[in-house]
Amino acid sequence: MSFQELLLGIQRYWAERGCILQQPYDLEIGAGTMHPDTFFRVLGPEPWKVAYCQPSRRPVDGRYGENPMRVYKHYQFQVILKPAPLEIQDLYLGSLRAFGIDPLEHDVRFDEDNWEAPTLGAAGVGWQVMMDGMEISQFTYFQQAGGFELSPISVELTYGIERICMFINDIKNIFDIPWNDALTYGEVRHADEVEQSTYAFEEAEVGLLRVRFEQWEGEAGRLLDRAGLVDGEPRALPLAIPAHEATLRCSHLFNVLDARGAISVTERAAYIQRIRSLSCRCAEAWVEGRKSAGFPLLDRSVASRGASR
Amino acid sequence: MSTTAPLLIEIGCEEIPARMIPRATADLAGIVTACLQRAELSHGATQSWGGSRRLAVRVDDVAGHQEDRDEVVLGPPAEIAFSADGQPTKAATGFARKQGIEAEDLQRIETAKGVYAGLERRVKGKSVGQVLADGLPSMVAAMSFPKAMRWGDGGYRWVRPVHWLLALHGSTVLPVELFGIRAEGRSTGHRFFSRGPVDVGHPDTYIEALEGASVVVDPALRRERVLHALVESAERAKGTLVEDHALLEEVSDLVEWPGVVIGAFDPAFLELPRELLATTLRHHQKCFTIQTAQGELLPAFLGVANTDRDPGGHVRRGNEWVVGGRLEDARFFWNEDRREPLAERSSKLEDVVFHARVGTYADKARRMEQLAHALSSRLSLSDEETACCRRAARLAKNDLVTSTVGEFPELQGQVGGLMLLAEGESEEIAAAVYDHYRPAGSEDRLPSGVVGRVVSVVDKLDSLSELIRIGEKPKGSRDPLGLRRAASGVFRILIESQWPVCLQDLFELVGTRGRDFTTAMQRMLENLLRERGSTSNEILAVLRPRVSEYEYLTWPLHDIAVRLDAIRTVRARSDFEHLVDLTKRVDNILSKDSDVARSVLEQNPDLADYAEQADAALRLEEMTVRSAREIAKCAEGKEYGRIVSLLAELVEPVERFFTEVLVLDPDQPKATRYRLELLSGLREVLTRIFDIRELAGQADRRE
Repeated sequence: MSFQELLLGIQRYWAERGCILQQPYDLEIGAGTMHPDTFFRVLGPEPWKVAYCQPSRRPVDGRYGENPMRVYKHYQFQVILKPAPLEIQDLYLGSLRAFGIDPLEHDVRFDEDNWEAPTLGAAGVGWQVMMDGMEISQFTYFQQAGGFELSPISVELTYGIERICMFINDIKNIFDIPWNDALTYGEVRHADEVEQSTYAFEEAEVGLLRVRFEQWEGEAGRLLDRAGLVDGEPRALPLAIPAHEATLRCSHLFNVLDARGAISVTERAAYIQRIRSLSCRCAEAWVEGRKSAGFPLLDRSVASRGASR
Repeated sequence: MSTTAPLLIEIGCEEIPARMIPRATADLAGIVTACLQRAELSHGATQSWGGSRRLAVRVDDVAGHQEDRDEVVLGPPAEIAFSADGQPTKAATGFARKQGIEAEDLQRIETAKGVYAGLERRVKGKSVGQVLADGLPSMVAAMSFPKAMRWGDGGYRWVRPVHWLLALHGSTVLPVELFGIRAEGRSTGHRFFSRGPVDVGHPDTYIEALEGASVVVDPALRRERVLHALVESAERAKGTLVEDHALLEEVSDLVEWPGVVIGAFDPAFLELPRELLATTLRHHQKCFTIQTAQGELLPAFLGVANTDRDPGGHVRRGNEWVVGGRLEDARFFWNEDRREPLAERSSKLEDVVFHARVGTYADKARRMEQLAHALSSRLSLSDEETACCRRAARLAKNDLVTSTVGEFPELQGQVGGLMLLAEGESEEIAAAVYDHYRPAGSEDRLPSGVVGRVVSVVDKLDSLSELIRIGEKPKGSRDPLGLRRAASGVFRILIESQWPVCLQDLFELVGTRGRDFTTAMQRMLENLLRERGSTSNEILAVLRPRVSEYEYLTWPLHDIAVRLDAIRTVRARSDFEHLVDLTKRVDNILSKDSDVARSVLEQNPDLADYAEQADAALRLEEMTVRSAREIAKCAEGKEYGRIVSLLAELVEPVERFFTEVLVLDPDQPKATRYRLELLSGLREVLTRIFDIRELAGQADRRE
């Protein structure tokens, strides 16, 4: 099964189970969780079901395209179901069967892994799903996000689709994955890996990145500070989404600086705290906005009528 | 009496973290029995089992019903409840209505406190089902886990979402409900090998029914099967299993139907340090290693799976693939680290914070080097050894900035040692850095050489003094920075190395640190001594705080340990109890605030012309003087066992003295003063080395 067939299959599986199919976020981000369709939508009381593939950049994981398993950018397939249905583990295992993985022939296990995203003020409880000793998915019941205790609880499924594809095809090197029946993953992406690794480890201009970080941090703060009263009248609402985007830019700049070895251990915690406090303020602003709109999706079914379930 | 039957409760849920299963299993057993006991339902033995998807408790011979019992309900006092003509008042009718009876049916009940209006009634006992339905839900919901979660609407909170509940008393399904799930007589088997629910029917067939559904629910049996399969597989791979008890426990609780896969890796990886190889396999993949009869690792590993079959070879290939990738990564980190010598990394420690309020590891390394210098000279080490200690202390923390330790924090120290060795540093220094976190616990061995021990002591001593200085001392059961373990490590090294180092020396090494530090160290020393098997009273008898509060601070710790051993051995002797009693008696007379003693001492009679006549007193005096001389000699030779024997020889003369001689005699002030002084001298002898008064009275317990 090629990479793109796998991607089509997994999208179809979750679409049939009522998820809207979203597209990747058009910013450099480190994980599907940062996509506003996860980070914002798990907040507050409204139901939500979404699935999408998110290219995720992890500059420190760059290996110049030389490591068979580690890359600067990989593709996460992300599913959010809110509230998490009680049969969610079975639904997840069903998705594996849909790729032709028969659990009877493998060792599929749920090993404890409590996920935390300090820059998002988010944490969850769950597992890494292991197949034959390899982590193929993160399975997380979100407990907090943006500093909020969540209710209802969302489940986040994050599939490492390259790994699953390597597995299905018994391929040892990520770059040998058949993207389709003509091209390999390496032919599509190898140059990207080499250049991005070189940039992150050797070329990134530290001074520039630091300045950019400060600027986007300032911008996020400004967009959030729009709230409040002026002459006793409510001013314009904070702009949660653009503020979140500015925060995501900070987050990525931080990751590049980190890979570049420009962040000392002492600075690290302070940087993370700065991003986190912006994220938490974005989350508050988003919830405020939904609340003043009367939580429009509350008491509505968010699953499409065409869903087979 | 209702019929008894075994009770079985099984809570089925999503995969519980392996590390939490043993404690949760025991807690659930405690809850179920507590529930029965609180309801006064008789029952027999309790057994409990647990696995990744279930916690189960079985209790034998549980009564089906509480006994019916008579109950007296008292209302208002009779004079308020009934008017003068005996008619019920408003108070009485109100009470009767609340109890669901007519006011006319109220009785006059005589009690010790007077006559009351009230009623007697027969209360039906509750069934075991009702008892558990009422009691269990709140107790189960209140179970504590290292990490719990909320699910659904966020209202339920437990370790993982609950999916089924099995509750049987004999063959009867009990009407219990937990987290919105009603109990049934059915369980669930292995996640993949078992289809549909598993009918259990009766507690006696539970284990069997689950075995049939590919679940080994008894953890001990599961562990046994895993170990057996590991040993057998290792043999098949032409080697022997490298045992790892903690890992065995963990993997056994990760699976419900264990099987073992044998995998191979590229022999080229055997060039990596063994520690790195084994840790990569253990840390990331929870795999066991195999070695030859000569103790060399084989290029193979054993993984434990939740399946005993691997028809397509997927499980083996998958594990081999991941292990290969992990080893590749480990080699990448190791080779990367080898490019810059460890000794040249000291400046990088300026960026690594030891504690926000103490400073960086660079500061710590500098302090450690100074301490190593001071401790070396306290131990009169040669110049060469001193230089080794200083260098090892200076380099010990440098591996914290390597990628290998970043990836495998549990290899800290070891990585530094391995790098130094590879870089041509002396074996002694490399070994000292390698081992300087030892001893990691009370069972762990000490660093082997003197340099390693010096570095280990100064590292821990520095952490203790710096962290206690800023107020981070351990409180109650809270010791997040592991200071108690650090202190125990320091004390164990001083004791087991028989170093001539006392607490006072340690205080002086780190400079003035105030009472917080010295008191904490004293308490932690007492802790360690208790861990080593001494009772609190024995420790008091040896440290003698009532005789001299601080003297023991100047005794080598090893000497304190020897004294404790002597006390412990000698307590078994039959005459010892007697000696303790007599010492106590001497103490009582001396401390007694008697008029006679006070008036005699006020008179201060002149003893110049006094000659003691009583034989028993003369004999005691002679023995006291002799013992004092002998004890002083033994103390010098540290023959503490002999000292206690010498003290035991005083039993007879002291006893005779008390029988024959009147100590406090108002008519004979000179004799009284003389004898009080004699006893005072005797007490000095009796408590000079050991304060055996501390051993009197209440039995004290060993930990």
